[in-house]
Amino acid sequence: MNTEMNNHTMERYRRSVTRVSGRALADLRGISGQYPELDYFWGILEDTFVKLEQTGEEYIGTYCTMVPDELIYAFGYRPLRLCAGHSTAASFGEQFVPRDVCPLVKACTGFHAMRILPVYEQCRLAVLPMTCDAKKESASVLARYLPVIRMEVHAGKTGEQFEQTVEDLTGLVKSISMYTGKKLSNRLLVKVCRSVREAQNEAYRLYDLLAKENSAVSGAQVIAVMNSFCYDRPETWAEHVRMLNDKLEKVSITENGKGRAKPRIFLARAPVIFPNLKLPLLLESLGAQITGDETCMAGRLLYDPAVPDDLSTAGILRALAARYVSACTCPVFDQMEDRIYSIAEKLRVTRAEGIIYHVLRGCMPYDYEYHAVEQLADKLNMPILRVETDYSAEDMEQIRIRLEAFCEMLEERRRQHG
Amino acid sequence: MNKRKITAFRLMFLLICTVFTTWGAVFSGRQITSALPVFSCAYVPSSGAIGICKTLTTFSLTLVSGAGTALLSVLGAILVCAVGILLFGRLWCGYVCPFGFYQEILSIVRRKLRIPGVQMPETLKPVLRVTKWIFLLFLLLGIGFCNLCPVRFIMPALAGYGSQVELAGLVLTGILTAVCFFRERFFCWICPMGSLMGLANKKSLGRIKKEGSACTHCRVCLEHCPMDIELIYTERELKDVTHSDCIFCMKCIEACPEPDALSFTILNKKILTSKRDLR
Repeated sequence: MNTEMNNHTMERYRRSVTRVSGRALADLRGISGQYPELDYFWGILEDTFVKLEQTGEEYIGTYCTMVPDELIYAFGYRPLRLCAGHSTAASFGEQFVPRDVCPLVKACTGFHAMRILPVYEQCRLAVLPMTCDAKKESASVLARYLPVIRMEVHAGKTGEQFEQTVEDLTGLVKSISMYTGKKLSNRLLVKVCRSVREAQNEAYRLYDLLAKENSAVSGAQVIAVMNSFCYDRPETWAEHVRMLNDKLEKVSITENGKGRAKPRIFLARAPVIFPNLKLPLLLESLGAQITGDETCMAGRLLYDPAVPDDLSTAGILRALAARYVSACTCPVFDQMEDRIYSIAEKLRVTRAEGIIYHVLRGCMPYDYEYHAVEQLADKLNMPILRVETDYSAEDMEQIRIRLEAFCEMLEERRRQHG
Repeated sequence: MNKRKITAFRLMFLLICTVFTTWGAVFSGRQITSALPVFSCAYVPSSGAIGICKTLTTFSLTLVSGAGTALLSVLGAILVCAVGILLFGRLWCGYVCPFGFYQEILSIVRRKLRIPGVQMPETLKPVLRVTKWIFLLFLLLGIGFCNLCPVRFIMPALAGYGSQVELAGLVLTGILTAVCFFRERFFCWICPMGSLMGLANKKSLGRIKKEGSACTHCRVCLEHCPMDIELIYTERELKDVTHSDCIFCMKCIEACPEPDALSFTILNKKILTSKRDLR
C-alpha cells in the first residue's frame, strides 16, 4: 500500500517535472524569430528534462562555475552542472533543506532525492566547491545520494591563495583518480581544452550578436542555449552554436534596423537556469531587449578562456585555476571590486540602458552586493531594478507590472534624452 | 593553444640578431660596434657586434691607466650604449640579446616536451632583486666578471669556439642552463645589464599600457610573464604599467583575452593591442 502510494506520488512528480519543463520549452519555441538552428538546443533540453532520456554515459556532478569541466572530460567522464532551475524539484527539495534556502540548492537536492532525472541518476560522484553557505551545507545532504568530493574555494585572490587553489586542483585530480580508478590523460585534457575554447569562441560571438541593435536573437533564447551547454559535449555544442551564429549574422545583415529600437536591458547577478526562464521571457515579451547577462549559467559560463603557458598537465591546471577561480565574479569572493568593474565593463560593451538585478530568494551573497551595484548605476546615471523571486510562477503578474513600468521608464528617458 | 604571432615574430627577430651577434663578422668582415647593451660575448671571434659588458668590466682599469685615446673610445662606446638604453630600455633583452635567445630555446624545448615550468618561490624574489644589483656592482668594478660569466662559457661554445673551458665556469653554466630550462628567462632576473636598463624602462619609448576597467583579473598576463610582474595583473587605475623588469616580450598582450585591455605603444601610438583571438 505504502509503496503503491509512493509510486503514485512519484508519478505525479514526474508529470509535474515534464510539464513545467515542457511549458518552458513551448515558451522558448513561441518566441518570434525561430531558426531551425535553435531546434538542436531545444532538443537537448527536451531530452534531459521532458523525455528524461538515459544517455548511457557516466557523469561527474559539479556545482557553480569553479570546477573545471576540462578536468572531468580528461578523466573520460562528462561533467553535469547540478545547479537546477526547476520549480517542482525546488518544492520537493524543501523536505531535505531549509525552506528559506535559495531555490537553486533546493531544486538540486530535490532532483537527487526524486530520482526521476536520468542524468542525475547517472552521476558517479559529485565535486562540490565550497562556495556559499547553502552549497557548503548541501554537500552533506547530497552525500546521502552519491559520493561527494569537496573542493576548497579560497575567499581571496592573492598570489598565495592562487597557489593554494592550484594545489587544491592538483589534489582534486588525485581524489577523482582515487574514486574512479582512472588516470587523468594529458592528451584528452589538451584536446578538451581546445574544444571548450572553441565553444567559448562561439559563445563570445553569440553574445556579440545579442548585443547588436534589435538583435535577431532574444536574450531568453541565448540564455537557454548557454544552459544547454551543461547537458551537451563542447564539440557538438560549439558546432551547433557556430551554425546558429552564421545564420544570425546573415539575418542581422538583411533584417537589422527594422522596427523601433527596443529598450536595452542588462540582466545581472543570480543565475537563470532552464526551465526557470520567466524573467527573461517576461522582459522580452514586454518589448525590451536583453543585451547581455552576467549570470553564472549563461553569460559567465563560458567567459574567460583558459590560456595555458605550457601544455603539461601542471601547466594546464594553473591555467584552469586562473580561469575558473581567479576570473570568477561570484560574490563569495572577498573583493567586490572585480565584480563592479566587470559589470561596468559589460554595461559599456553591451550599450545597456537599464539593469535588472536578479536575486533568487534566499541567496544572501548576491543580495548583499545590490547596494554597490546601485551606486555604480547611480554613477552611470542608469536605472536599476532589483527583482527578487524564486522558481514559482506565482509572482509572475507582480513582476510583470514592475518590469512594464521599468521598460516604460527607459523609453521615456530615451525620448527625453533623444 | 593561442596563435602566438607576436612571439613568433619576436623569436625570428631574436634569431636574426643572435646570428648577427654570433657570426656577423663572417659576413661583414668586422665588428660593427662593441657597444650593444646585451650579452653578446666578446670572446666570440666571429661576433658582428659585441656587448658593452666587456668594456664595462675593464672600464675601471682604463680609468686608472688613463691612456687618453683608449679612454676616449671607451667613453664613446658607453655614450652610444647609453643612448640605446635610454631609447629602448629593456626592449634589448626581448629582441636582441643572444643569451636571451639561448634561454628562450631552452623554454621552447621544455614546452615541446610538455614539462611544466617551475614557479619562482616568493622567498627567493627579494634575494634575486638584491643579487642583480650586486652583480651590476661587480660588473662595473670588473670583479670576476668574464672569468665566471656563464655567457662566456655558453656563447663561444655555441658559436663553435670551445677553447675556454674552466671547471668552475662549466659547473656554473650547467646549473644555470638547468635553472633556465625550468624557469623561463631566469638569468634575466639577475642580469646586471638588465637591471641597468630597467632604470631606463620608466622613460623609454615603448610603453605597456593597461585599460584597468576592461580587466577581468583572470591572471593570464601574470601567468605568462617570464618576469612575474604582478603590477600588470593587479593594477586597475594606472594606465602605464611598464615595470622596470619588463623585457617587452609582449606575452601578456598576446595572451590577454580582453580586447584592448593591454596594449603596447611607442610615442603614444598603439603598436599592439590585446585581442579576443582564441583560435
